[in-house]
Amino acid sequence: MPHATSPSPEQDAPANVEDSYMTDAPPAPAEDAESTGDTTNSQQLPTNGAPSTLESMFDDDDDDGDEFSSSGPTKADESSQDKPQQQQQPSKPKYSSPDILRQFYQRLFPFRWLFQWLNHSATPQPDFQNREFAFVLPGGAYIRYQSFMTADLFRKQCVQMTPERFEVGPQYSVNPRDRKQLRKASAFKPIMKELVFDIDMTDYDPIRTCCSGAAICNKCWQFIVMAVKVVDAALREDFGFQHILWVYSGRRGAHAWISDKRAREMDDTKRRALANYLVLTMGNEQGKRTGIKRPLHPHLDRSLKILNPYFQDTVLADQDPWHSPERAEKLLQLLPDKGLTTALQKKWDSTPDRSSNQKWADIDTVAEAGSLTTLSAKQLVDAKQDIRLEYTYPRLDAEVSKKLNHLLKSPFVIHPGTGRVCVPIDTRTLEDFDPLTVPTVTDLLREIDEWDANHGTMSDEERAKVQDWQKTSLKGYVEYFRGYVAGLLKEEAKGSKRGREEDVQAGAESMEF
Amino acid sequence: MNFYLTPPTGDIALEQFEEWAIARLKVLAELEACQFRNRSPAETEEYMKPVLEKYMRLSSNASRSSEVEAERKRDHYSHWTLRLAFSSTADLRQRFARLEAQLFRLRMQWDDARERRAFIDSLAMSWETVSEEERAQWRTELKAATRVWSDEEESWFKVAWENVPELVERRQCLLKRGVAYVHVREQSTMVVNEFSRQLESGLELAGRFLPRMDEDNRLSPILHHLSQSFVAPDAGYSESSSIGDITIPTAASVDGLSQHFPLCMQNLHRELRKNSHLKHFGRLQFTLFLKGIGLSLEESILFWRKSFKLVADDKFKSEYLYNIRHSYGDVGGDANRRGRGYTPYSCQKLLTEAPPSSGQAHGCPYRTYAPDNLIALLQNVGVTDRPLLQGRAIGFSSMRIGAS
Repeated sequence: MPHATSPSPEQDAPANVEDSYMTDAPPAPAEDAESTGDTTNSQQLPTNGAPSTLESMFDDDDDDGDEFSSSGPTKADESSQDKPQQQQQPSKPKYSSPDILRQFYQRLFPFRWLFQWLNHSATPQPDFQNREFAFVLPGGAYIRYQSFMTADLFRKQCVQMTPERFEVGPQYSVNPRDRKQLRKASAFKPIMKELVFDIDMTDYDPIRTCCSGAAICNKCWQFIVMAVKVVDAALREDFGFQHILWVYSGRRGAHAWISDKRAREMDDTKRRALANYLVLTMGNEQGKRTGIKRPLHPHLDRSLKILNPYFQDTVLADQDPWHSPERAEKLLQLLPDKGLTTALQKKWDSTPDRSSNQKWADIDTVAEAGSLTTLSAKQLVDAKQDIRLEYTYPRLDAEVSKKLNHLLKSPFVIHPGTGRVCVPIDTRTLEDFDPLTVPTVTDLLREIDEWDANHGTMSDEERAKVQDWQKTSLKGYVEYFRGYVAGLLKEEAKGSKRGREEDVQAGAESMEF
Repeated sequence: MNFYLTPPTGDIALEQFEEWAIARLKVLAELEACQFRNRSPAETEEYMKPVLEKYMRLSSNASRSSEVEAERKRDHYSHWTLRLAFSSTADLRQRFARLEAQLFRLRMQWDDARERRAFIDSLAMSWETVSEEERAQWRTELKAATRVWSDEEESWFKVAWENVPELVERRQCLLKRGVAYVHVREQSTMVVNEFSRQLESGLELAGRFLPRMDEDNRLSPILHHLSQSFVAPDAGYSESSSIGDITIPTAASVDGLSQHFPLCMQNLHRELRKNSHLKHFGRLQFTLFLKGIGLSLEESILFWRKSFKLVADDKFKSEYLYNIRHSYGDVGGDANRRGRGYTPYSCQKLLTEAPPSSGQAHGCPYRTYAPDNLIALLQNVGVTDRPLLQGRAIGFSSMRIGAS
């Protein structure tokens, strides 16, 4: 009886149904999900003209509605938040028109490296073959439990179905497409997935002043930069992970994928433990605050050292979060000393136009002047540390990290709202990454045409050597990804002597079916 | 102390086999009762001491008693007998493992320090003591991470962090490249956790081999009997066996029938009528009960729709309807639909689940209510016999809650 301990299904179920719709879909009742999927498919048939793979296309069309309510959590956040954005951006559908998507998958998407990244080897093995992919089709249908024997078959289906985006799930104990043939439903279970993290700018809305909701600018992107630095440091130094891929989520956040074998094989308990290790529960909107214990745990101490310069520049100078009197009120609430807050209030009332930087400095000046009533000087230092953490410490969407079977949007797909490609972020040059200059799919297709026009004199033979992605600004990102994957495969080959024996065993077991 | 890693191989008489197992079962039942009665660890310890003394004496190695060997043997055999008896279903396995782990913890606490030390060292667990140099190098971090104050023992050991997820989760150990530095005081918790882990996997294994057990029809009745006497039957549900063929309950008749409900369900019904609302777990508990007494899905939906009279149709549809259908197996994943939803909760389950917080009304009132509130509730449902009520009040903390 799963419901006895897990959160109530009333939260899961309707949310899941909603997730299965992309936001540009007209508001349709839930029962239409499958039929939407079907029409999309059948409409594409004539244009595709590839009858040989019809079967693979219809493989899962008989899936019934319960796909949506099955326990696998789906990525929830983006769909609802995208809505307002799309109304403002009538041009949006052009990014997800089947034609553009088909060209993108055909000419630009780095299927080979994506395959190797998820497969951990150059030859197909269960790591990839039994892995779930979920497609979000242009009509809004959400199709789960897709799996592919090779990178090429995967590519073919993407070209045919032109998903707006697809998500990557775990490797299952058996091929996800065969799950209904099992006698026992419990034999179908997730066994491996990269450890993932999701940092989304919306969680920063209470503390950012420059933008809100779906919008993003270079100022608030710094919050993501800080979060990446802190999480990356903890994952490497504390947990010893080495293969960490950071990916721009296409609009206003970042994902992390950790591919170390030790990370991939973690069960839910360990994932939850690790996620909670990184999460710092801070005061919520109602002002309920749980104090952070002293002495600070070394992880927090290190994080604070990383974050301190950002607090000065990004938070106090750029965001100026306590400039107006109403906002300054928030700062006062965070200071647990009546005498101090009254004195500060008085000071700021008389000189209203003080910046956050000045107000932050005022705390010490006023405290030194002797207005502390209940707090000791040491406690004030702690309280100020808490505030710094609150305004800089990473705000993770931790639920994503806690479950082995959680799906997360794949790298290199197109964000349907912005058209930008979800490119990997090189942490060595993290500061230089500018989300606003990440190429959109239409940019890229134009770049191919421009390149072709500029190289009209080239012989056909030479021209064939250059692949389409190499003609575009996607080149640097794909090459980074390729290098990253090569490093992962090398490590994997080293440790696979023992692993190979296990694989043989696993292979033999799956043969029984 | 014993991790019970190797099964006994000697021959014993059938009577001993049963007798020792029953003695151990009594101990475990008492232990569980302590939990049902919300006894604090200290109270449990005090209560259990004579019980253990009586049924399962286990003297320390130092004692000169000639009984030591016999006691060890009894303990060893009875554990393995019950392990067999309780391996058949996941519920039983879980419950047995939980209680055995509690027993193990109790005994470890009582063991004298030197023997405990020796026992821990004898375990083949992959922990390594932090060397002097490392200790000097990381002293500040170690103390900050593990919250060691100046007067405490400065001794740590190293394990792979995966072995101590609960310490990682609460940030109570120092992490360096995947290695957790743990303070010695956590060691006993880890030993108990390791004990549970090994026992659980051992039970799992036993469960798989049980059907293939090579025996001559003498053991299985005993094993069956042992596990049965320990468990309240899971309230089975099937459409044909419900009392439906006498009078089929309908949405309208629930009110009338409610006076015959057990106290927890009457309580839920009263709360529902009072507030025109029930929180999730209460709703689930009550829905499954109604399902169990034969209320059909259609009638159940009607009942809840009418009961939630302050809730708009839209809200009801979007927030509650799915749950009711899910409980009946009308929607949901393959497994849920095939099993036609959930079975009604047994007392056993209600007693072991998390107790209700404010605003919630699920669970067992005999367990969760303070004596005064319980008396008020009983009076409200028509129990007026004063001596009986007084008996309840006095005997509340020691009352054995029947699982029937």
